[in-house]
Formats: sequence, structure tokens, C-alpha cells
Amino acid sequence: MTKKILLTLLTVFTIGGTAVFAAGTEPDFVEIMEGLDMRSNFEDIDFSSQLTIITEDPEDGVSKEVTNQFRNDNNDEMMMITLEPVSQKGQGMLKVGDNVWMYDPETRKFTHMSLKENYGDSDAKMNDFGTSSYAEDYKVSGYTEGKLGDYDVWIVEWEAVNDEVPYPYVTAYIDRASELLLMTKEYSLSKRLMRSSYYLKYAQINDKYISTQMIFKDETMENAKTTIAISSISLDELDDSIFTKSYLERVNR
Amino acid sequence: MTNQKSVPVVWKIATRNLIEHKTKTLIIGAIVAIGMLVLILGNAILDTATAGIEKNYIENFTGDVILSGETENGIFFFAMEQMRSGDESETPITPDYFEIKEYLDSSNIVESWSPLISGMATMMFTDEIIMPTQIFGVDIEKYTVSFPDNMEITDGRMLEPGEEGIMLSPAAAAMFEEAYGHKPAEGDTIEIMATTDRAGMKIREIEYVGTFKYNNSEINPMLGLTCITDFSSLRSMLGMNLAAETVELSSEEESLIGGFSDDDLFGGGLFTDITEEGEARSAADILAEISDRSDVEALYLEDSGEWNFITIKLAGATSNTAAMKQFSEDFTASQWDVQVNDWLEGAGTQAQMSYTLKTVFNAIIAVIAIVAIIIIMNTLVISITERIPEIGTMRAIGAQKGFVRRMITAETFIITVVFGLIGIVAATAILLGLNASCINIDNMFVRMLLGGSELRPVISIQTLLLDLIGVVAIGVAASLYPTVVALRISPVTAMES
Repeated sequence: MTKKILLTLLTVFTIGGTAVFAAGTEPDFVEIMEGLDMRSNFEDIDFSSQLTIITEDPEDGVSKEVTNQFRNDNNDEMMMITLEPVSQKGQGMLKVGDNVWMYDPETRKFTHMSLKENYGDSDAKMNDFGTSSYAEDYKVSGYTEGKLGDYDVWIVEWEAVNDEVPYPYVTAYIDRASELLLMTKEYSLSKRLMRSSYYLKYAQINDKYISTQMIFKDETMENAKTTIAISSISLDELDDSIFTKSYLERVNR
Repeated sequence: MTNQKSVPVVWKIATRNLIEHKTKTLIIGAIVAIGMLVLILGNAILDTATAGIEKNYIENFTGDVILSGETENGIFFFAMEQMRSGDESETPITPDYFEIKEYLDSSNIVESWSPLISGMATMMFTDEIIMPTQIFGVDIEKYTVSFPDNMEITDGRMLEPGEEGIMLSPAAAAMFEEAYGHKPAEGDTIEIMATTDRAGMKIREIEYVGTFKYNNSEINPMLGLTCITDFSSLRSMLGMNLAAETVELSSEEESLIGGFSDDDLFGGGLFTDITEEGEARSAADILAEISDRSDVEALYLEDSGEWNFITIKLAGATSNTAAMKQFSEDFTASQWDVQVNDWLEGAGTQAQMSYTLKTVFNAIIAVIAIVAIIIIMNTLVISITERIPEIGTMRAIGAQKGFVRRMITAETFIITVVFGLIGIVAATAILLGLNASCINIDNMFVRMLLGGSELRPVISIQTLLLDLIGVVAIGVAASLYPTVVALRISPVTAMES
């Protein structure tokens, strides 16, 4: 009888202990970051879509830009061509790796830009478009669990490991169920909150996810934000010539 | 004692009292003299600074009056100063330019006027060497008429009327040399990029014409960083040659405008069906759409008449206040929404700082004056208390209250005038010394405050007289209470004490 009791207690403690141990296991955030990159990068297929970029500025009011985006993530290449407003029609942005060029069709001139700079007058950075490289750019320095609206999230602290990114410190809110990024709070070197980014909607394309509605809120200025909606998504193959300066020069000829 | 006889007697007794009470006299006198010295030196330096700043800005840069579009945030000639102030709006456009042009040409209080476009752009020398810069777009003919001596061409030549080109600041020319290993020369082109809400990103190549330096650029370091182009080049860079477009939003897009809370955004429904997101467009479709530029060309305006500011130099002795009043009345009557600004509003924070400093100095002087009154009053009270038997005796032998009052007032008057004059002499000697030694100021901040690189304070006779009258008034005010104290004592009590 005593043996049975001891055996039962041993079993209970063993199972309980395992459960406790399992509950205390840290999520592998490196793997989650790699997952974020992997699922949003279209490595084996080309990708194109239309972006509607609405920027609210407390001083200058509301502006709207419609842009077509072409991506070849395999080569880390991206082309964005502005369709609206008419005054900016044909202006382009070509990104190849970490190099970004802006194109002015009026003078047919290119200028080299940094990924850290804002896209036009919007609150989005050049870095917000194209391939994702969170696992390469950041390391995890801490995490907690929490809730964001209806979602159970991991609130993960990221620290930049290179100076290619616009913000050195980021707090990322990752949905625990889907492991998709819902929100980031982005900080300067002095830990001042500079921007909040919201990824409100995702579309699933095969095993990939693309955020189709995003908000970038400038935290340094009240009521300044940019909303980006992605539509007209296509996975049709794109000609390599699209990702060249001469393509931009050709389209405006 | 009669009033007629008492006047010289009062002065005689007052002088004798001052000599007899040397220590008290010297204490009060020293306070008066030092106060006068500080007042004159401070006012001389600040008056010279503000006069210098006013002259430099009006003659070389802002004119007497500036017209602009209506704005609640103040006007900024320099985009960098605007950004520093936290104002990120675009510089307003002065409306109804063509009508205002006619008005100014026919106005008899206007000597000359010159319109100005102010823009911020980036000079792209190489991929690595870039330089954000302030650019003024001007009608060079009008600009040189309004401000004939405001710059010195250090290399190349001046922009010609009707010519497209850029004159570089010394800083931009140095950056060019660093990028290309040689000084800029005529025929070289400078690549400049600007981003605006209206036109997005624009890149322009503008031909180099010359390098120039604003005279007296030490009054504002931004002047040393400012380049000048013809107005049409800058207008095109800033999209000011394009008709404004209206923003049309769908009801769904409208719903995204405005504030929100983080939690409200994530109320469920994270996933969307790709088929709901519109038809995909091929690269060929985009190519076709972009290649048709007829709609873009339709936006270009022949002469938009868009300028940020109009600087006006007034004719003869027309005062700023009167001219501004007349302009405001005439513009309101014509229903032109133009803001009329004093030169100081366009001069920027550096110039305004000097004026603020003057106000602060005057406030400090007011506090010092109050303290001086209290000290002088106390010293006089002590002095009078010591002289109570003497005053009592005077009263007992027939001196009226009015006589005693006049005597004490005369004492204070003599002290303040004599020591005030000593203060004036000392301050004048110091000012002459400062002028003779012509002190050069290296500190940029002090240069800005003083409106130049040399300390040459001057003072007018009018200011000296005003300061002296002020000091005498302070002295007389300080003597009021001690006089009351002296007169309160009855002759008998005074003689007994």
C-alpha cells in the first residue's frame, strides 16, 4: 500500500514537474523572427501589388499616393512606381540590396538614398518596403507575455545588431497563435519612442503572409500618421529588366 | 523765512549737510554713480546691438516690411529655423501676387520691393557627400535693386536677370571642392533634390554661376549656408509651378483618417482574402499608364506667381507702423488674404533674441532701481534720524515744514545729479575706450546678439539725458519717505532728543 502511494506521488510529481518545466520553456524567438522573415519574403516567386499610401499631417492635411510595387525577393530587388497624384506620376524607387535610388521623371535623374530615410513625405521608411530581415538586423533582449486587443501576444524587446536599420530599439508585439507581427514600437538610441507601426490585416498566399493594411504613426508629432493598404496582389513572373534604372527611364520616355 | 529767500538758503544748507555727512553722501553717491554707469553701458551695448541688427537685416535681407501668406506659426525665412521651432508645415504662399505687384509698383510709400521663395533642399555632390542647404529663389533684378550691397561675389559672377543658375554659399562651394577636388567653375552643374508634399521628390541639375558671401552674415549663421537660385528653378524643384490637385478618398479610406487606440485596432479579423483586394495589374499596364504624361503636362503653370515672401523697403521717412497699417487696410479693402509683417518677424530667432535680451535687461534694471530706491531711502532715513536735533532746532527757529521738505529734496537732487554725472563721465570714458580698442568678437553667439563681429557701442545725448533724469527721479522718489519721517517729529521732541 505504501509502495502504491509512493508510486502515485512519484508519478504525480514527475508529470507535474514536466508540465511546470514545459510551461516555463522560453519560446525560441530567433526561430520566430526567422519565421517572420521567411513567411513574408517571396523567395521563389515574384510579387507585385498596388499600394495606397495616405498620409495625415497636422499642418499640411491629408495626401494620397498610389504606387505600384514589384518585388523579386530572391535577389532582394524592388521597384516602386508612383501612379498618383498626377504631379508625382512616374517617380520611382529602385531598391537593390541595401542601395536605394529615387527617380525623377521630369529630369530623368536618379539620386541615391538611405534605407533609414522616409519614403517621400510619409511616415513609412524605405526599409518598410520589400524583403524582411528582422532575424538579421535584431537580437532579442527580453520578452513578456501580454494582450493586444483580442490577441494574446509576446511582447519582445529587440536590439539592432547593425546600423542599417532606422531604429536601434524595437518592442515587437507578436501574435502567439499565428506568430505574425501585429505591432512594433520603435525607439531612438536615447530610448525615445519615435514611431509605432501597426500590421492590421494579413493575406495568406500559399505559405506566405503579406500585411495588406499597415499604419505608421509618428510619435514625435501629434496626429501624424501614414496608412498603407495593399491591393491588386499578383504572383506573376516579372521580367528581370524591371529592376533596373533603365526600366524607370524607359517607362517615362 | 520767506520762500524767495529760502531757495538759495535751502541749497546752501543742503550742500553743507552733504559735506558734513560725507560717509552717507558717498554711500548714496556711489550707488547712484554705479547705477548710472551700468545703465549707460548696458543701454549703449544693447542699443548699438539692436540698431545694428535692425540696420543689417533691413538693408540687406528683410526690408522694412514683409508680406506673406496667412499663418499662425510666425514666418520663417530659413526652413531650418522653422524645423527647430517644431513647425513642420510648408512655408505659406503669398496670395494675389499679380495684384499686389501692381499695388506696390504704384505705391508712393514703397521705395523698392523684391519677392522671395525660401526652400530646403539637399545638394547631392556624390553618393557619400551630400549637403542639406537653404536656398532662396529670387528675381535677381529686383533683389539687387532692393539689396544692392548685401553680398560679395567671392568666385565666378552674379546671376544675370532671366538666367537659370545657382550661386553657392561659401560652405556649399567648399563641399563641392571636397567632393570633386577642384573649385566649382562656370559650366559645372549642381545636383539638388527636394521633397515636398505637393510634388513629391524632385531632382534638378542647376548650373553653377558663382560663389557669394552675404555681408554681415555673422548676424545669422544661416546666411552663411544659404544659396541663391533664379526663382523658376527653385519653383520647379518645390513643385510651385504645378497646379494644386485635390485629394479624393474613398469612404473606406476616409474611415482610416483620425485617431485610434492600440487595442481598438486589434478587435479580431486579422486575415483577409486575397481575392477581395482587387485585380492585379501587369507591368505592361503600368508601363502604358506611366508613359502617358499628358495629364502631368496639363498641371504645369506658365507663371504661377507663387512666392513665399515679398520684402518691401519703404520710401523716405515712412515709419514701419504707419506703412504696415496702410498696407493692412488696403489689403483688407481689396480682400487679399495677405499677412503684413514687421521686418523683425522675418529676421529669425537670432535677431528676436537680441530684442528679448534688451527687454530682460530693462526688467533687471527696473529691479535694480527698486533695490537702489530702498537702499538710498534707508541711508537717508538713518542720516535724517541722526540730524533730528538739528532739524528740530531749525523748526524751532521758524523753519516751515515746506522748507525742511525742500532741503531734503535738494540734498537728494544734488547727490543724484553730481554722482549721476560722475557715472556718465565714467561710462563715457569706458565707451570711448571700447570704441578705440575695437574689440573683435570671436564667439558666434555673442556676434549674433550684438549684430556684428566688433564691439563698438555708441550712445546718444538723448539717452544720456533720459538716463540722468531717470536716476534723479529715482533719488527724489527715495527721499519722499525720509522727508515724511523728518516732518513727523515736533520741534520740541527733536530738540530734546
